[in-house]
Amino acid sequence: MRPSLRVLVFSLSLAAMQTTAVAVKAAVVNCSRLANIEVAVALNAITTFSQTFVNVPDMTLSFTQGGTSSGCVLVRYSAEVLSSPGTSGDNDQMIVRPLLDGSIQSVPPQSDLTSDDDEDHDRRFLRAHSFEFLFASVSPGPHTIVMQWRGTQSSVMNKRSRVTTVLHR
Amino acid sequence: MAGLTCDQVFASKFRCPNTIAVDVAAGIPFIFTSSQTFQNIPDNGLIFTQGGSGPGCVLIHYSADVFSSDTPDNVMVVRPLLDSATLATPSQVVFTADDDEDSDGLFFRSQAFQFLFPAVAPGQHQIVMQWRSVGGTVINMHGRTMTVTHQ
Repeated sequence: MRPSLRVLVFSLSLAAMQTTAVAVKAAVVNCSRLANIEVAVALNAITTFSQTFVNVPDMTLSFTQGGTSSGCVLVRYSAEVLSSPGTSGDNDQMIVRPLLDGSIQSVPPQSDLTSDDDEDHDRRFLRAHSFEFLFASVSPGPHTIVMQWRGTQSSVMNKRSRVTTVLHR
Repeated sequence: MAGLTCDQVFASKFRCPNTIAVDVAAGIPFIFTSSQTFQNIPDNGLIFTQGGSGPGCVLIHYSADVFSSDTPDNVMVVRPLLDSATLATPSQVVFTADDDEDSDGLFFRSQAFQFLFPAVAPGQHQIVMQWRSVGGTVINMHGRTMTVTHQ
């Protein structure tokens, strides 16, 4: 049996970071018996200009949470990505998040998977990035995870190979 | 599928029950290569025993501090290789590239990716991470960790 996963969660307040006192919230969550893994893999190139979250194609996974009470679900997302400069200029950010059952957000709720990747404006290259997200209390039964992404400006966001894994009971 | 390559259309989903064992290979020393053909990454190989009574998933998660080169536009590609012959899905990724656009020789960054072998038979297997330099100029790596999650 895999040892229990202990997930340390930090939540930094951006407003607090701008002051001398940095507010840090932390929690340790025991995630035992995550013996089941669902995997979605896609290899085709995709892009978006959206500044609101849209689903990442082929990255939706349905699973059945086991057990008799609520428990952890851990989502690990990897992708080859590039944030390209667009008409609005540099410094665009690619934000990704998993969404559980259409509305429930993880901890952390989202990640800056990459940003400002093309400072010499040659539109090269994709690079591999990865991040882990936790849903600390998911009830037994069927659920759906979908990965979503957006840009912070109107620049094009590019992805190629991408893998979502959902670890659950 | 006729007329289309796998890269244009491939997407798939896999169910991996009873994936309960984790093996880890980690290295710290600074390494580099300029090889344009795949070479084993030092300290990132291991032998594991796949359990169960039938073929099952093996999931590789690879993390490393890397720096592609101080030569413009070089690309570092990495891949896991199972039993010296079997490729994962995806088979390889651009782990990092063109890391020094202002030509100051700085800095290493942590990158990560995960790969799946969906049907690995029970028994003993060898897994190794490999890397290559697409442009043939030096690519660099520091701390690195490969985790193998399996039945």
